[in-house]
Amino acid sequence: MAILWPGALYAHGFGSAEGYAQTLESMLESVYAPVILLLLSAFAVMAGTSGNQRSKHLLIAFAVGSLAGFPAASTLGPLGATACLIVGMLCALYAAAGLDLPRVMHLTLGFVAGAAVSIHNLDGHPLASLSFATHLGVFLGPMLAAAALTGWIGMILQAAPQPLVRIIFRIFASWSFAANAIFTAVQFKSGL
Amino acid sequence: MKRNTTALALVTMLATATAAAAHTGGIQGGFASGFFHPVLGWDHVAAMVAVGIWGAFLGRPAIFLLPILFPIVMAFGAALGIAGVPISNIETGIALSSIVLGLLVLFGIRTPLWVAALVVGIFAICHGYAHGVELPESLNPFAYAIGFIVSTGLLHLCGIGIGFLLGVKGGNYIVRGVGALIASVGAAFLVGAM
Repeated sequence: MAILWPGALYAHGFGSAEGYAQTLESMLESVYAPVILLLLSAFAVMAGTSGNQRSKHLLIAFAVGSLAGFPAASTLGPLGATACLIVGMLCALYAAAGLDLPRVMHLTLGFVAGAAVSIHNLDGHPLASLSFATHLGVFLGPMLAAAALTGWIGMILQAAPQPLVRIIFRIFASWSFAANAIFTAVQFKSGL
Repeated sequence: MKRNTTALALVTMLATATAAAAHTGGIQGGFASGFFHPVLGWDHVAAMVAVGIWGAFLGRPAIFLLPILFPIVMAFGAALGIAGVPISNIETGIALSSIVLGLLVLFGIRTPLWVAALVVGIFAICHGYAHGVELPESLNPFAYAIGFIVSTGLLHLCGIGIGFLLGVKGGNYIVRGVGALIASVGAAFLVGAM
């Protein structure tokens, strides 16, 4: 079947990208930026080390925040990168410190992380200015990446529950905080 | 005889030829540059390894809290460097970090966790500041930053690995010897800095 029904290559066919292809393209574009990758990695460590129940709630909060970021993107677009960096710092700091914050604060952080990602990805575009397929990709890309990373970390912690593994993730979170903080400083230095 | 001399001269020239380093814009000032900045600076290497060793000396929870704390505070120092905040005698501070941390390891000094965090934090600012000052000039500051953060973390892990020798027979002397070496390196840099 795979040989009989191969799909068209659509190489360099950016002008003809529609529907599924457009969604796929915006999914990949929406996780490609360094600030997004840093935020997603910090969020995933925070969520993945929080336990199964809380990580599920965090992902839901992330999804809700991501959707809430769509209408906010038109006004807050220029602040998207900075918001991602600051929220990334907070997520990384929380994960590195290994604190047990109140549930409300935890979920708020997840919500804000999702919103920051959408605001940055939409980059000032009003809600109806892009196609549904593009919006779908902007939502699905970071969402799937966050869920996959969170699930992967949770799986590792379940398979290897030794304290050392959790410590390694906390060290990684501290690196993530450092990267976010330095990127933020560079952003401010550049006047962005 | 003349053929042998020519061959010898040719081999010597080939053996001592340096790289042309053409079109290296992608690496110069990028991840590799940031990664090797602490590694190629003995003052940085000595202090980073000493943090790991001292953490191993102090045991839990310092053994992992210090490597967690260091990058966080180092980033603050780097931000100061990026912002151009004038801080004098940073090189002296970096040299002192090797001396102090080396001596702490040499004499096996165990302090409360908050004291250890304070000592390491102060020196982390010095090291971060030194990295941050060079960051805006690099070709790709983001990759440069990732590079030196990863490199710093790996040097800590090396130090922790050396610290694990404490559990081996005679390891105590080895580790303290490394501490003495680190303090010596720091003293050499301090003399140079002054």
